[in-house]
Amino acid sequence: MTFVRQHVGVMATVAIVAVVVGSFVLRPPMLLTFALILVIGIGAAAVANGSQVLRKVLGLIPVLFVITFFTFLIMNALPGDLAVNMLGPGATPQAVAQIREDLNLDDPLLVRYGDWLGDAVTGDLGVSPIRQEEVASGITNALPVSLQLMLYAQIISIGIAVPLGVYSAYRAGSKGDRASSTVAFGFLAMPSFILAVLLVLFFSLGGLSIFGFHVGAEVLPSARYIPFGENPLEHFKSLILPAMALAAGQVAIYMRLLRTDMISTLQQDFIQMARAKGMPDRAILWRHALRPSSFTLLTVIGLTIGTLIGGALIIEVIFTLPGLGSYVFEAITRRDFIAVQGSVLVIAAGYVMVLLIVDLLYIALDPRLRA
Amino acid sequence: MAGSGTAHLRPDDEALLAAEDLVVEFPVGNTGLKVHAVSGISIDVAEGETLGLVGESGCGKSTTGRAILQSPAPTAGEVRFEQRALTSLDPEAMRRTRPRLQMIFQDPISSLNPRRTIRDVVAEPLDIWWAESFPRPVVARAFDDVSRWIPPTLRRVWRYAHYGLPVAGLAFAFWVVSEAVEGKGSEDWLGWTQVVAAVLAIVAGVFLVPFAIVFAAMGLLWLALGILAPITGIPRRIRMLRDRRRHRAEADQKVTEVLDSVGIDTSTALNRKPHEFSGGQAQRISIARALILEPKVIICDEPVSALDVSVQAQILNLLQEMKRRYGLTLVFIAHDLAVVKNVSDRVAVMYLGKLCEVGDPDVLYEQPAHPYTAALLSAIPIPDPNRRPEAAAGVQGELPSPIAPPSGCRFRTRCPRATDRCADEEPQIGAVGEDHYVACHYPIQPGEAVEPATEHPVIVEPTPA
Amino acid sequence: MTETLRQTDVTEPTELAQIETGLEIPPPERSLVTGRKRRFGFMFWLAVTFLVVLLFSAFFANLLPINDYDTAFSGRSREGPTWDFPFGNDNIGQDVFSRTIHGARVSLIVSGVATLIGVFFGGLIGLITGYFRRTVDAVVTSMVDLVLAFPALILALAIILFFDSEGESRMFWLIVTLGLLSIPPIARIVRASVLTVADREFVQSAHLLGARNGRIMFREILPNVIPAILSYSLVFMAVLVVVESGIGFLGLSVPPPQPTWGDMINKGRNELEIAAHIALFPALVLFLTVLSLNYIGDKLRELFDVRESFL
Repeated sequence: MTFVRQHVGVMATVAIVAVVVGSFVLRPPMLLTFALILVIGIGAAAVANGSQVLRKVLGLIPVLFVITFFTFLIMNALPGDLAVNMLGPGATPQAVAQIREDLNLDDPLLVRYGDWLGDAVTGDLGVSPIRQEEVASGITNALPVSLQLMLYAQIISIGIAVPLGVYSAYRAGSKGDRASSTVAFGFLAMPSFILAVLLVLFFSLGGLSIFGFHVGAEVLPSARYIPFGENPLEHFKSLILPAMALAAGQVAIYMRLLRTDMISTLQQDFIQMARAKGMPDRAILWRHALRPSSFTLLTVIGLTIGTLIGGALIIEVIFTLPGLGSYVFEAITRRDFIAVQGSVLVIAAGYVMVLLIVDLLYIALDPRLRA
Repeated sequence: MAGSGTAHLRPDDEALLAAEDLVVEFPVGNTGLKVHAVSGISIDVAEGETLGLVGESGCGKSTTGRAILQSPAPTAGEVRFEQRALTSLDPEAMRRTRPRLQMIFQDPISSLNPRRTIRDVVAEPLDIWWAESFPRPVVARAFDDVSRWIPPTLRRVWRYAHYGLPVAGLAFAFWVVSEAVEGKGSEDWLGWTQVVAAVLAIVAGVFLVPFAIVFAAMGLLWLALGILAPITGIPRRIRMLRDRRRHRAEADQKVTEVLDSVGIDTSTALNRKPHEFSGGQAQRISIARALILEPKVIICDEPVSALDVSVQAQILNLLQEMKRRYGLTLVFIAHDLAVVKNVSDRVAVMYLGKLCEVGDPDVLYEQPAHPYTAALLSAIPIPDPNRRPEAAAGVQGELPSPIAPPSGCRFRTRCPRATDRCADEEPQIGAVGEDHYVACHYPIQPGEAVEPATEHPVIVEPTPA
Repeated sequence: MTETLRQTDVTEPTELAQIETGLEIPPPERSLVTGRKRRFGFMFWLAVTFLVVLLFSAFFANLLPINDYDTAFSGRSREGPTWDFPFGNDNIGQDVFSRTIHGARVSLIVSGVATLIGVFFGGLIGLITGYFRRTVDAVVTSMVDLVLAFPALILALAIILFFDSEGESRMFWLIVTLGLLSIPPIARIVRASVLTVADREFVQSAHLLGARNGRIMFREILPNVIPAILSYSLVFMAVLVVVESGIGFLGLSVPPPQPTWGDMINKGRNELEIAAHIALFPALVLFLTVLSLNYIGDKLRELFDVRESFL
């Protein structure tokens, strides 16, 4: 039991990753995956830290309530009749009547909300009259795409940001540091959709001729998505440009964060001590300095993941990737309220869960935070 | 030694400021533990007197000083000023009393607003009370009252209403179950789970809906008043604007006067910012600010601890002179007994939230009755090459944690004279001489050398210089 | 000016110490702009110039001697940059330069006003919660966190589309939505800033002098919090510029004929291979605007952090 206690954080992370991977492969109902992750996370945290965890978890439930209720309110607060809004001005009276019946639009608001919520908890998010499919399955199909995009973007950004951040901190003030800071600053200012357009231009459409020099190639696809199962190579090729577009801004943020934290860590006495003992700089940097400097970074990574669960909307639209972002965007433009409602629930639940996990990981990693 | 014990307090009409059985406790985060910073201190000051409050860092002396000024108010105990109880005043009345009770802080520069010139800093008390002399409109006063009244009221209502939350949770759980069952087609189950869910929901509503209504109503009221208040205050602002020039001239004169009296060169200083001054100068400015309202009492919270030794003497002399000139009563808090001895008419020694000894500084110096006082005294270095170093000067060990202080006499863990009685019974303060009080089961008698009850090293009384 | 150290019992004086009392007052600090000590640097002023020029041109766009943004110059479809048309022409021959300047109006107004809304209300909320703490803080902070958990972009798009489906008052709805959504993050930042200031001794001493809560908040705490807020709001405005452009890119900002940067970039996507300048020039101006705002905000933050270290 003490072994579990000591290594709770690691074990929980491993278990969660296993569940996520497993769900990619086995495709169980989305609700089951979420529930499993939730249970593992909470269980782990409870093992480590009893009531503090419970309070945090219980605090999340009202959040989800309020978010979904508000979304429901907004949808129903629109001027005009809900059914007509959904079907558009050209709808026939019969279609309108049909919709009213299907969705019980004559029932009072609270009852409808209660019904929807009750269904939602059991995994039934309703049927979209516009897409003629179940919202839950639409989301389940879209979610993996967004998650893959997010995963690759994070891998790229962390993979670049961490070494760069460590190096900049190590050589703070040098030319290399200032150069990379400037570049990072530049990427921060670059909106992701513009970068996406540029990437498409230079890597997919053949590039530009500037003053006679031709820059660019026609190497990567820009408007299709190939699932991993079908063709791994094409899958990666179809996702690499969007992932890069997403990653660029994140690289800048992560790098700066890590650099700042690392610089203050490197000024501490225990680093000098390690140096005095003759430890090579490289070992000091990576084994001793990195860990305490990574707290803020981890929090921000967690927050970014949480935010991106909604899918990087614009990127998905640009590259026509069938992810959750595209799904929601389409639902909004097509006034598919049911789908919007369901998506908001999923996105908010995901965000809130990720925040909870980050919080718990924090407590697990930093013993000072334990009650 | 214990603090309960008011034997050393003087009768009410003699004491200008008196604190009785002060208790200050802070909660520690979420753990439910409490820091017992001050546990039953009683002290008083007569008019024109300087009371020195001395003790180690962490003994609660600064906390006592602030508790006396109700900033923040103590957890328990009474504070009387001019025979009126400050602790039972409402916040507004307390605020109006404040000009007569001022404070000087340890860190001079950070107690002055870095973005203001020192003319503004010293004039601020005058500005505050000048503004107060213009009565505020009813709406503004109502807004203040409402703002003060809302949080405790909401908290009280919530204490009853929050039971609705678990009930609502249960209702929801039943609803979920009923939805899940709906698919399976079992009518009976569906029926009764829905009923239970509905009933629970109504119960939860009874608890929660009134709270929501109250919350919304109060919020709206507060917002409405908050928007109206500044608007109805415009006529007042106009009146203030008209009087502004006269006030400024008057204030400037007073500011110059008081800054001169503390030794700041007003011809160049007025438009500078605090960080442009040295520590000693900043402390002078701080003193000036405290003086400008002509208070009766000034509590000096370690005013010289952050200053160079050479500057300390100047500031101490300044304080003495100001006391004389303005007829002040001082409470001087410090950790250095030598400093306190020279400025105080009476000294109180504190340890870990409790009082050890109270009396005349010369008497305390010559014949300390409490082992802790004796230890503090023996720690004062005396730069005389002819003196041989004492066997073991000072107090052994570290201050125990104020979260879990020792039982009985709190000093017993470091006291060479401690016995079992000290662990069981808290000593009450009592007289050991003319105007000399101590809280100890085994006070040091005159002429006695401190002897250990166990193998603790001997603390030898310092022989008079 | 010197003074001898007076004899006290504190130390036994073995000699008379002649010590400078330090009663002389040092010379004033050097001026911000011209002094040698603290300077903003060339890049800073470059950024400021760019923004000022942009603001000016956007504000006076209708009075400037530039082409109308919706005049389709026949025969100039997809032409590259020339002297007459510094940014070239788009697919129907409109002047990209003029359209970019008019597009700046939308982006700057929307982001500017929304930021102002956020700073005003968020600042107020942050000030109150940071100062009073306890109950007020707990309640308001949980409400703020709640709003932050909403997927912001989705909410914004939903509100815009659902309440203004025809696009008649799109600008208004954009400002309102983005303004409302800015309040929580700014409130959070202000609150954090206020928390660091509220514990400082000068705040306590103001309280002890008998100042009212309102006076303490607005005259002691606020002036110390404003510098940090100022620099943050510039950076925040840059974010809103990006958000507005993103919404425009999706076709949901102010509808044509009013040009917006996002819309221009989106439409220019189709022409990327043959006439990339249609998309790239607005993108460049957008990038430079965001860069300048970020840079100025950052530099200001540095400056104020250094100031703080004096204490």
